[in-house]
Amino acid sequence: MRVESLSLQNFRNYERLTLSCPDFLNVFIGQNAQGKTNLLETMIVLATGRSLRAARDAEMVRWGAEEAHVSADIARELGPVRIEMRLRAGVGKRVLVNGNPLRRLADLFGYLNVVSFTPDDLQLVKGSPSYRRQFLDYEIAQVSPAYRDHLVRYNRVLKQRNSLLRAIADGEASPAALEPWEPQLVEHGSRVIVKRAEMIASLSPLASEIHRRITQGSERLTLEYRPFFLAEDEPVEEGLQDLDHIRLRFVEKLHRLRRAEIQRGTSLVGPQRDDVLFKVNGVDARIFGSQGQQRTTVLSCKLAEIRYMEEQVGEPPVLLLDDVMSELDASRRSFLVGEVQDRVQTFITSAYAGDLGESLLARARLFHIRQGQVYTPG
Amino acid sequence: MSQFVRPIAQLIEQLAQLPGIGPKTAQRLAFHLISTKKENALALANAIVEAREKLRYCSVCCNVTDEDPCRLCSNPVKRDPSVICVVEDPKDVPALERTREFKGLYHVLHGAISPMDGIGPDALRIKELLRRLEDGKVKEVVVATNPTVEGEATATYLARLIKPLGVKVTRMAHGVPVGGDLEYIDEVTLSRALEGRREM
Repeated sequence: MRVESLSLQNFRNYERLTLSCPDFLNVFIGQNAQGKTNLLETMIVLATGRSLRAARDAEMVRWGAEEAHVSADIARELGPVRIEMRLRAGVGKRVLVNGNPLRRLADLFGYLNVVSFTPDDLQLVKGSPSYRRQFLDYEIAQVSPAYRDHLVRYNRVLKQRNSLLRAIADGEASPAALEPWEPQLVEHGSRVIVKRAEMIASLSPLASEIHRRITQGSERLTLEYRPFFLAEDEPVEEGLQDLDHIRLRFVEKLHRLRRAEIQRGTSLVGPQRDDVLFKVNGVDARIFGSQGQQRTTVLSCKLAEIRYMEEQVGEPPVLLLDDVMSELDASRRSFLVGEVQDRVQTFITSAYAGDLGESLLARARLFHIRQGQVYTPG
Repeated sequence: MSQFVRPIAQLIEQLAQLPGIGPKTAQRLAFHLISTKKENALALANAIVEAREKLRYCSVCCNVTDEDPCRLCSNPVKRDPSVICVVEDPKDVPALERTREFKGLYHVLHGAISPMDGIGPDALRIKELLRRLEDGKVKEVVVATNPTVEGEATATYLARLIKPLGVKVTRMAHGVPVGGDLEYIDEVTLSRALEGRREM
């Protein structure tokens, strides 16, 4: 799929902009705080209904304006799609797809798929487990609306249950009050775990194959999904994709940890404590990997993500590379470009064109961004 | 608010406290009320006073009513007293009544369990419900709380409380709406309906 044009009105620092971008490779060049990333954010919001940077819609509305409008024309194999969105402080987003209003924002998923790669993603291997869970959630939610629904409900149950556990710890509620929340905790939580296990099972061979090529066969990468109920040294078991098995494990852990949960006043079970392990040649890359190995691992995973989404959706997603090229050395950069060349539409932001390499620049459509204005050379 | 004379400012302030009404809408409504015919504005004021003075909760089903017991509860000829449908909110009763399918009686909980908001089972009209089950005439309780996380937890709570009394507890199904083409149903509803499929 390709984003053929993008238009912004009162979005962030853009008063009014229409951008035509029919090519596969597009580069936004500009100093910091000129609005490069805002263009990528537009696509993320149109794809997923929310921004990774803004906690509230009001943050995305230009200072002094009442509402922002963003839209994109997308070329897909099954025909063109037009997404239009209105953002306004205090009210929900209003979204039209091909002119028809969506009843709920969750229905937006699937019209535009994006994979984004930012310097933050370099934390994927080494950073806290929350980066890895976010990585999983973000990808799966884009291809599975049911996953998103279970995750939202799970998080809600968790929040309610944590309030209750605190109240019990303070002697304000009885432990018996936990019971009515458990069926939903186990049900939504188990479904989240099964989906994550399925995703990692598909992603691992893809990442492994890409990693082998980047390292010219010298490194073998595997991804290991570790649901919360596994103890640190416990080997991964069969059946992580079997819902009944997961439910049993969940309930078993729930009963075992109930006392501790009440004592601590918070939930100690559930997929909010899952993790993913990256193994290079059989050892944990988080602890034993060099910085170079860790970066290659992240790149392999990101490229695998594109393949994964392509498998799930039937055509490649749009790739958004936010300020990340300068973090990769020349050989990794050229591998990345070679992987997506003429196949995956790519948007790159960079402060210096020099970071990108001549061969890339020669084939890209360049946009210079200055204070919310876009200039095309020539 | 200080740019308005006191009576208008007061009116705006009161209106802005209503659900779904922001400061701008409150202003518009206030100016409408003072520019419209006096009897229209007074009729609204009277309607509010009358509703507040005359309405109370039915001592049987806890729904809002102007007579006690309410019309539904005091009409055992046309209604089947062996089935009680439990809902969260008084608004849910007319919604179910419109179907003309349900012939039993209702019980309004006035909310759902929500520890985040400090709402435990004691804050709901559950004791009143249990009292109605004491004489053994009720054979089935249909739990029609909302399909939210809180509504589901409330349903589970009620089922665990009521089943041991020998009363059948059923839960309203959720899934694909009748009369809808599958292709127009959102994916979340569809996948939940698939997850809850049953054998034929």
